[in-house]
Amino acid sequence: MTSSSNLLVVIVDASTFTWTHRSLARAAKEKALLAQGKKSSSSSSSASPSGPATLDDVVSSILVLGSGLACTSDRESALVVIVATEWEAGVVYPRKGGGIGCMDEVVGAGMGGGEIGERIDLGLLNDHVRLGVAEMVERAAMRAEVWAGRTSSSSSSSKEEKGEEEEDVVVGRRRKGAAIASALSVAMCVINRFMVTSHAGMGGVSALANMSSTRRRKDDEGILALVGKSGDRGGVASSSNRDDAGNTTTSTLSPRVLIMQASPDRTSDYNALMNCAFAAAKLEIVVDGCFVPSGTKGDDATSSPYLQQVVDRTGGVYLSVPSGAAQVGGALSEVLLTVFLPHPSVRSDMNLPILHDVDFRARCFETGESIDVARVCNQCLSIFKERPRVSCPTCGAMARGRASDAGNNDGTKKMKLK
Amino acid sequence: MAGTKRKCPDGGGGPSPPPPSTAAAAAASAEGNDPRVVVDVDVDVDPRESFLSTSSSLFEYLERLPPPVLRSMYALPPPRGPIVAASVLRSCRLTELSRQVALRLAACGGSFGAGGIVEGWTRGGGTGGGGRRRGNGKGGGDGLLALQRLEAMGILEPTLGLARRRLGIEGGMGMPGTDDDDDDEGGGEDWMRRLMEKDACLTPEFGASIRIYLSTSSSSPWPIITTEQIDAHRAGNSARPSSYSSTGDNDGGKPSREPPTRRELEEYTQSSWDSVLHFLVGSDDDDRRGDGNDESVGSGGGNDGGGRQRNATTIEEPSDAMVQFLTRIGLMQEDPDYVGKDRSRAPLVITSKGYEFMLRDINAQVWQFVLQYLNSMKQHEMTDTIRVDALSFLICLGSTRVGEGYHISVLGKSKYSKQVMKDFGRFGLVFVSRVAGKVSFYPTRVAVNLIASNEKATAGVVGGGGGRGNAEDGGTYGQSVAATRSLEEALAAPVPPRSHLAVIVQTNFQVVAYTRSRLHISTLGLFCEVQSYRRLPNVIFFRLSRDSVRGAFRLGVTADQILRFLHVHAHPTLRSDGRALVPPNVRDQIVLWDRERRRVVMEEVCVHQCRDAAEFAAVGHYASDLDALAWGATHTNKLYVHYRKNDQVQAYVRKWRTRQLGK
Repeated sequence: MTSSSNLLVVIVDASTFTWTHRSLARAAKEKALLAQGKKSSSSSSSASPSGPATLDDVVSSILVLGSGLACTSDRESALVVIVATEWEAGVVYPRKGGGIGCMDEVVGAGMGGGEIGERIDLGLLNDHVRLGVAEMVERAAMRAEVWAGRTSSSSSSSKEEKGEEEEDVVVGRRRKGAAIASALSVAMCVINRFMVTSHAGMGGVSALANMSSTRRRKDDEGILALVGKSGDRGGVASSSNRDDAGNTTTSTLSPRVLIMQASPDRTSDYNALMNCAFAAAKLEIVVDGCFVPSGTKGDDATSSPYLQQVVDRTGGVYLSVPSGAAQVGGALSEVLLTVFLPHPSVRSDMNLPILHDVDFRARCFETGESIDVARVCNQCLSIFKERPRVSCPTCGAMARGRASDAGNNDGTKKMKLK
Repeated sequence: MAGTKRKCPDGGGGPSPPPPSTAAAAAASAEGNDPRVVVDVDVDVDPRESFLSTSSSLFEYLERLPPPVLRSMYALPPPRGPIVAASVLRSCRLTELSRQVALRLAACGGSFGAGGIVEGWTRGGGTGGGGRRRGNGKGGGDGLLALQRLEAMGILEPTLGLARRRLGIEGGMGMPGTDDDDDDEGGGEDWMRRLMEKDACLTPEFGASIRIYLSTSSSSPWPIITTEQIDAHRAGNSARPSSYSSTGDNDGGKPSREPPTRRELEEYTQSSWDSVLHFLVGSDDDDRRGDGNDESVGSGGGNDGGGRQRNATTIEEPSDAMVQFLTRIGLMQEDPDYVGKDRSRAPLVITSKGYEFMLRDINAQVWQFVLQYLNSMKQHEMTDTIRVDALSFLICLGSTRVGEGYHISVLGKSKYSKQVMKDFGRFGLVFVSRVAGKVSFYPTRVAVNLIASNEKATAGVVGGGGGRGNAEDGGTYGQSVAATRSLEEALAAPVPPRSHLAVIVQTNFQVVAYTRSRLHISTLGLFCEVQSYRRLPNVIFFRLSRDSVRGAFRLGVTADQILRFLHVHAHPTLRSDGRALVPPNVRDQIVLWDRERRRVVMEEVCVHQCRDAAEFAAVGHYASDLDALAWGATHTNKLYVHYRKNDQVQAYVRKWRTRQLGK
């Protein structure tokens, strides 16, 4: 019933390929509509039921979500925005002041000074998120250019055909999907940082906190008081109970992550993503997923199975935004406000979208396909669609000779590896 | 039974100080030039006003305002309206669910069927999962409660009639029951069905404001004075020093000053606020002894401690207006024991209400002041305008940061706003000075925290409107944060400031207080032994003893207050590892000492020596039937009978004896 502290980490998929495609598609649609004369140009941007959301729509909706968070939660709540492009993931809000000090700004009491400051500074949020997204997108574009230039030059110098092929393969893989997994792990790191500082009085959960305890002491005690009267819960004073203490603090902090994904899943990230999901579930971090499909005919991705699995694992809310009008103008922010704003503690009282059928099929570790029948390495339990020829690509265990004699078509689901 | 006859020095709680004299004649002439401060509080008591004046937090106050006034606050032009809307939304007067409902309504156009909200949006469930809390057996109790809270805060149009139902019952607002206002159980079914068909509409004022808030993102309500502006001003001045006073721009001939540093602000707050508290405790009574009056009568043992700890630092006396204010709100009174002829020269002493005030945390204290200030305006003809101005200004202050300054021009043209700002400056809420050529104000920590702590207050609200909010919890919480922060600052600062206080209570009843403030020391001296203190530069050791604590009780302090004080100011290290902030044995002992006062009752009795056990039994039986028996000792056959009923008992004894003789 009380307003509880929020720690929300928003991960925005800002992969250039996807969004360029979307905005092109939208521009084309609007042009077509204009040509048909159905819409006047003035109202087309707001009222047309066409077009997928552009990156700008998503960013504005996140800003609205930030404002919404600021006026529903108390002042100790914090918002972190992480942008993920094809190439990298980075925290854009709170913006790094420079080097190591950035986290102080996020976590430390120094930000607000001696008062209970409003920690979500909406003005800064606006500036930093827009600036950060622009920077990240630009950097991603530049990197893609450089990379393409390098491969093309190398290919022109030596082997033409193979170089071409390689570029296609890698760029093809690269441009499919954003670095959601690495963004999620950055998010987990940030959240861990909060959790460490939030009960640093007991030594923290990481070696880092201990190491720098003298330097950070000032901030730590501040945040400790901020995060709540975890001390009053009692009974967790001894260092052997540190884990419990961590959980206690976690529950008062109730961190959560919102992933806004637009590009298709990146298959090579499956392992990393699921590892993050399990880690999050262990720390009681709720991961919400919002998938923004394009709605155009060529693109068949209307939902993200990976994201669904992550959300299902951590008990969050998953929503695939309906394509079309629900993505244009302010509609996306309304969707975010309605579905993703509620604090986890209120969710039990509210009717929110429930995830019904999750595609739980495993992914081949090598190709990333969803598979019904798989072969499992008996050493590292990696899953493969095809039986590896020589050794397990994950752990390097040698495939046993007998297995190759038995052949692939004996129907066994176990692959024997030496 | 052992202590029954012991003489108890303060039986029955001791003589409590007489009620505060209203409208102190002594100070009435002091502040005649400011009509709004001099208005007497106690002239006539409007029920609405008295209802308002008991609000324990800012948002409770808002809730109790008449709805049109509250709605006009939402409708204020930006930045005020949106910030008020957001702040109310954040406040503890709303449940988490109602916040979500309000934002959803704002997102989906402003109105939605009540049935849809209660049944579709929320998951109350007929199984009574969340619905039980309201005592309403129906599903969706939380949803209803959310709507009711929204309506009470003027966020929803009052078409649902929920707020009236609750407030009409509990609030004493004088709202007569209309035909809708059956009992909760009474017309339940029917009423519920009708309710479900209605639409819940956001009030247009709130809807517009919250939309503005969501769509504009700014860090602070007003444009901050930037360093560029200050530099530009400075450059301008140094370029033409001769024309400095003759230019006739905003300077008006007065020199500007550098913007105050954070530290200056802190010191300003302390000096303006602590001076009041010092004055209350009378810790500087030495200075005032020049009057030749015996000052320390009313304030008892506490002052000895305070007086003894004096060091070189001096705290200036609060202004006359402030002193008058203190007397008017009943925290101080003229010394009732003053024997001089001229009553107007009687010294002011603290009342028991004042002691209670002392032991509250600072946010509660500030709120008391602001509340009285708001009250004092009620006779002004523009009262609602001023109130709206003051409250919205206060709320906007809550979303500023300490250390940022604003030109006074941001307040707009209204002269009330400026006056209110200056008055708040007197309480130490803002620091007013000339910076960069214009009059500017700098919010202080107290102002920013006041709103934050009010927002935080953990809701004792839930049961319905008008209930006594649990503002103390929120206050202490905010205070603990402030205390930790200021302790950090104290540890970091080369010269420890005077303001922070961190207390460790040990199981051997030793109180270790990290403080340099005479104020804190004298506050502690209220209930600690002042004869046996030891001190180091930044630490003072006190002992809690039965006598010292009872001395505090005699002054009207309660055990609860002492414990709360110790809790609020507990050392942060104690908070970090989950032990009790005050050791259980000390806590229990303080409570026991408190009970001790009521355990011993003084009675006048007559002793009746019975002749034998039979008489003892019979007379004892009769006396206890008569409610006259105080105590009886079987082995000595003595009866202790209440003095007043002794005659009756004696008559019975005679009758009984004659009957025995007759047998």
